[in-house]
Amino acid sequence: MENGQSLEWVFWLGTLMMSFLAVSVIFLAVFYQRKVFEITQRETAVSIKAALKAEEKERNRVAADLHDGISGNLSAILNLVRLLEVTEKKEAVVELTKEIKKALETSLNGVQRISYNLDASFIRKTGLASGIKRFFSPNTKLVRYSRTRRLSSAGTPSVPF
Amino acid sequence: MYSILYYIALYAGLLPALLYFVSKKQKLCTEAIFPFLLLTALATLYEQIGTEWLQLNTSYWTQVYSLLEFVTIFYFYISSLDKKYKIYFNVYRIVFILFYIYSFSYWSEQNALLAKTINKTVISLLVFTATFLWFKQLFEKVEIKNLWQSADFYFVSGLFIYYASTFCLFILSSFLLETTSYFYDYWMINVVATLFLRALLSFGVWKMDKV
Repeated sequence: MENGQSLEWVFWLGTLMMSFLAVSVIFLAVFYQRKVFEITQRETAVSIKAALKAEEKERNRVAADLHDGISGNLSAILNLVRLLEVTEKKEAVVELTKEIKKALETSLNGVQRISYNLDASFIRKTGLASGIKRFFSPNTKLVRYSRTRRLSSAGTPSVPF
Repeated sequence: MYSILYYIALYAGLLPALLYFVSKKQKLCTEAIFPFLLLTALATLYEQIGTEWLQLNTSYWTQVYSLLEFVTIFYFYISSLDKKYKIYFNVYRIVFILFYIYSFSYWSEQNALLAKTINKTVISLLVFTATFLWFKQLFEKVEIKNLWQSADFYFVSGLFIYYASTFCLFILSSFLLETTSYFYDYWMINVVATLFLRALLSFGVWKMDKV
């Protein structure tokens, strides 16, 4: 009888302990979810940081392009226009107008190039290879233009590129 | 009260397999848990038809069920865990075979409880070890983003909760049967735990990806 009673005690105590252990899986699951949440938060913070850094770099690049290219050309155009205001000789006015037109074309090409480079949807639609080709195509036009000019002014074919 | 709970737990065994066949349209029978779901449904059908209606001796089914139970649970865990834990499974495979053969020396047509105890002990230890390894792998890899939506979590938890809460019952069952006349009060633990296991299995099947 006593053995039976002590056995019952052992049984219920053991069962309670094992049941408590079994329920601990819920606590494990909660702990795991918290860990996943923390990892996700950290990954999101890193992604946002990287995106902000890339954006800042891009803005700096655009600012440099504008300053180095367009800004210089516009300053040159302004000087030419000032010179045009004080010039009286017809031949000098014609020459200055040509220079202003050329500078404006260069500035326009520069703006178009900056605009092309900023357009990300082109790469998304057509792929990286097309994007790289397009990136270099405005410069290719400039190279072709200066090559044509050299042939015309020399009259005969010059040193080939 | 006991009868009501018993029959609810019994017929709940059909639910996971039924849910599985109803919700999955393609790629049937490929999940690691499927054999165990099938065994659970088979056990329900045998209990109802073989034991209740035909009054067959349960001793034979108890011994066969122990073997099938080990095989299906073993398959589930070995499919769910990494290859690096293979050594643990090889050890348990050998241990179970030895203990299963040993259990026959305590098996008889009149009383298969002690044989069942021996087999259940090994299966319980397998479940405890595999559950620990599963959670270890879970915390190492952090592959599952939402555990509450993972079917495997419910299967693993269900099996662990069942075998943990009935561990003492099966170890002491043959002694309790001899020393007490209220054995069915203790057996209620198994009934409730079985119901809980089958509910979690059903929930896990419901959470499975529909193909």
